[in-house]
Amino acid sequence: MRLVHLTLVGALAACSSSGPSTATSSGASASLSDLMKARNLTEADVSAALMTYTPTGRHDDYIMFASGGHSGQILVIGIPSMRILKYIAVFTPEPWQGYGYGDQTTKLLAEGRKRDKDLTWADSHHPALSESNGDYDGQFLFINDKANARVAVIDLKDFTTKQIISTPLIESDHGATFVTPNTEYVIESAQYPAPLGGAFADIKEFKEKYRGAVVLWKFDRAKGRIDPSKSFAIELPPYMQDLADAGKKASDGWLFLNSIDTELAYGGNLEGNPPLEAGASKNDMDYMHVINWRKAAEIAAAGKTETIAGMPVIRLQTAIDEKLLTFIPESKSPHGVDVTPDGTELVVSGKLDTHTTVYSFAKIKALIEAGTYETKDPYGVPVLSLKDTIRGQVDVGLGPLHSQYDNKGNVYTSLFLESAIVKWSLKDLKVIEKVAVHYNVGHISAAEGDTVDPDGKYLVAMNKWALDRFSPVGPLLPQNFQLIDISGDKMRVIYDMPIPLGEPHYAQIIKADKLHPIEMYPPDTDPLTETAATFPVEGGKERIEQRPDGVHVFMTAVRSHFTPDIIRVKEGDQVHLHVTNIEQAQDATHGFALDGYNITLSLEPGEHDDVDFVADRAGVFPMYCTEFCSALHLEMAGYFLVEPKAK
Amino acid sequence: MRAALRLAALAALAACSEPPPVARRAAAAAAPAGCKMVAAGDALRGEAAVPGATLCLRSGRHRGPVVIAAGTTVWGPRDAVIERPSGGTVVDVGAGAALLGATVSGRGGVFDREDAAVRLSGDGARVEGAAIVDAVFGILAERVARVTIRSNDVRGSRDPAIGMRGDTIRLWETQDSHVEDNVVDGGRDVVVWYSSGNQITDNQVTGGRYGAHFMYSHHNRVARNRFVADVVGVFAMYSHDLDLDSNVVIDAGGAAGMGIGLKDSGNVRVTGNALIRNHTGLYVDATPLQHGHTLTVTGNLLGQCDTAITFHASGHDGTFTDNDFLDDTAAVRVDGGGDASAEAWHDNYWDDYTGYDLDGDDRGDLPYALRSFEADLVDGTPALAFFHGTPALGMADLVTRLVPMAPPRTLLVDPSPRMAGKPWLVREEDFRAD
Repeated sequence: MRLVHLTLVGALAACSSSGPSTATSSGASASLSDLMKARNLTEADVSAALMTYTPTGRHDDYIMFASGGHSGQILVIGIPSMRILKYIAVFTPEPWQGYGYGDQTTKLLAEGRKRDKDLTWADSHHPALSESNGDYDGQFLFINDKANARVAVIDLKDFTTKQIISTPLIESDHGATFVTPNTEYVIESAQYPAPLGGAFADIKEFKEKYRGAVVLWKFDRAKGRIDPSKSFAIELPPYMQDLADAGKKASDGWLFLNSIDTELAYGGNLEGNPPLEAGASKNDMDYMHVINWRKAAEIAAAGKTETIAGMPVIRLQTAIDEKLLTFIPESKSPHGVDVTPDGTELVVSGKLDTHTTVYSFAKIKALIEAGTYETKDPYGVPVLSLKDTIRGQVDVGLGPLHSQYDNKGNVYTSLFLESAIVKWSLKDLKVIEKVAVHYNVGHISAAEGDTVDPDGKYLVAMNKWALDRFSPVGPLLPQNFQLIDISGDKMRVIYDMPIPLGEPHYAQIIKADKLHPIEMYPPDTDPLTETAATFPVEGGKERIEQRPDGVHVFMTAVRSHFTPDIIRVKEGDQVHLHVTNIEQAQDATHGFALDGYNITLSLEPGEHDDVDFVADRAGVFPMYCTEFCSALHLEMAGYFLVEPKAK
Repeated sequence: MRAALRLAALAALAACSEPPPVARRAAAAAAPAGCKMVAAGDALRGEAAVPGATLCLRSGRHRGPVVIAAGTTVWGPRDAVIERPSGGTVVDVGAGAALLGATVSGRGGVFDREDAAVRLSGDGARVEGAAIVDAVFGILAERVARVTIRSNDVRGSRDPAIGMRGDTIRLWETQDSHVEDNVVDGGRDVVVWYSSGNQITDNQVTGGRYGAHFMYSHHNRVARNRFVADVVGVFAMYSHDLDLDSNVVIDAGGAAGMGIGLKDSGNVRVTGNALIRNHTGLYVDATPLQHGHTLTVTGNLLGQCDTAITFHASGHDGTFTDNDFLDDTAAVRVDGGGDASAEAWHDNYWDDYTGYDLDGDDRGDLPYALRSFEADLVDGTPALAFFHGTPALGMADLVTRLVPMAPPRTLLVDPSPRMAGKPWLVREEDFRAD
């Protein structure tokens, strides 16, 4: 890489010294050096541009699925261009995709209600691509909503959300979503403890009555849905469980969780207690949770559970008795337990520390099997010796957080306090180099960097602060994704991408050629169920029918008209609109908007949607296509006429 | 060899005008008058539990745990050893109580439980002149005020894995207290978290990780300390109104090595410190951050560092005056494509200044401008020390100098550079980490 870089510099120098115009994009006489001077660019800048610029029509090598943070969505981003390709609507209404405005997606969002409460935002954190044998398979994507402990399933056939699921067992989650190596289970662990199932107990009973839990959602790959009837949870002490990872290869069958509050602090800074962040960072160690999920599944299947809020729960004592749960001390306030590609080791960092710790799974397993524990926690959970479970520690820098891997045996760890990425050798436990990022980096994501087969090509630093990186836009600033080339000997930041969403936590980067999305739906398809529409509509058979349950409108959309384009109903009628885009041409998407009724649909080629509503406002309401579908797009309109009730 | 040459270079500047910080040894406390003698064995546990007593330990081993009741003073000679081989905190010092002298052995303590040799648990508690040995955690003060940790000798485990060591001294939610004249070696960190109004003075901290680490801790003073061969001398984050003056930080090395590091802090005054032979002398990240806050860096020596001052990005609202930049590989580095021109620079001594002083005012007649050539080529790779002197970087830099495609960045301009450095005395013993 260094050779390539120098070659590039040499080439640029030659251009400059010989003087001929080599670039004409901003004027026929502009040489490359003139452009660089005019734009105040260095050789490093030009090199970065060459590494990321993707000409029109050319596709990216990788696709990144990034959490959309508070938007409750997922961002789809091409790498290395860092072009945003799509927002996938997940937990919240999204008008472009008509998500939450038609019957199907409204019902889907309603699945995500919690205790009958509509939720119009989410705190999406950690996307997880489905895996086969520990490698991304490009079929499904999962993501959690930390705020309401929900998990969603996205089918990558059409990049749409198919399922939102939650359990009232827990109130929030964080160790989610992570999948087991063949996507047998989707892991969701609680973050902020509470009495399980939503009961009330005063905070002073935190130790006695508040609990964490990890939910193992059974995934039915054939159906592409989580099967709640085969899912279960394990009760955990109220240690504020944090990030998770599933074992792979050598550690397949196990899962690992961080925790941040072995102090059992719960705040109360007006009640004589230290604030939560002080209380929870007092102890020097927190506990990594080591869970034998395969054995836990057998225990759950054997019925050794108690049903709480509809969820079979392996109680804490059962988990102890059955040796499902073991603790190991880990550096305080950790954020990330990252299993190595071969599954033999775990990398854990404490974000108030300067070193990261490499645990040996073989040592952990041997100690568990031998029953060699150093002590027990106050709940009776066995605690292994830290010294007996680690291979070593690496002094990586200030505030290590989260780690990813490449294909050369290197580990990349974000350093929050230093705002840097450190690259270090897993074999030698030695630091190789660092690169500064801006600012306050949280998660990092490398190309396939958390699988059994990392690619070692790109790494994205997900920086929490942007400060001076972009043009000022008022007090609320974007976050900053920085693309780093890790293919050579030296890491280089090659692109800054503002993310105008708070707060995208984690992302996964998959080879683009692993994704095989459809171009369009078969005619008259309900995208949610991926089956033929319940109220099919065919071209030529459009109609308006009066039925006992109301007015049924069977409508088609095709460039450039709706049929019917005039709908007459009476004030108070129940209206059932069934509309299909009968186009079978790629990208020939139509929108359907009904003014005054808060209705917007996205009708992708072949897609069928239903909308049930009451025509409760008399008047004349235009309806029109919201996608610029053709030259006569503006004319793709009609009228919804609501005749007033007789007075 | 390299170190010796550098030392010689510094010695050449040694014409002392100020008393230098020197290595100290903690002094043993004197026995209080009229004390009740306590025999070795188990007696101390009962005697110490009586409030208001004054006890003197006889030589020998005293078994803990010992809880020193409010107002009680326990004194002991060095060979009076308080211990608790079964593990757990050995001595708990209550409000207004004092442990003076003696040796506290932390042997048997468990790292995961934070077993400490001495825990200060009441306001006004004191530990003075004690020797702390074999302890995973040394002296911990938690949720107290006006405690004193003075003239103790705290020895950490020197475990090769620094992360496996405990803190030697920790203030946690501890206000208005004194940590002074202690000799600390081979532990992990001296920690000041959620603790304000404290004086950290005249200590010697060697061979650890953080010489002094501040988080959410304000109005603290760190003065006349000597930090040698720690990973970081002083690091402050999320803290404001700090005075860091007259400290010596030498040989802060490793991946994060820095003499003084400031992150998201403000109203920090860095004055009269000698930051020598550190990977980074002073690291500035978003400091000051808060509107109205400042950073003042005055009268410091930044000598023989790989980079004397590193800004994580363009800095602002800081004043850098009267500092001596001497024999650093790079004087100032700014990561992230920025510069330090929005900071105020004046009256600094730059040893690579090539101007002249015709008017004889001891200031150069031409401004000193620091420009970056190679930083542009290795932008995004701040660890210059990894690559300095390699053929690859040299060739690339040469190409840029000979055939510049773009002008080098001006990182800063000092309009009134001093023509000569100030006399600094740094003795050979100051470099020792023992």
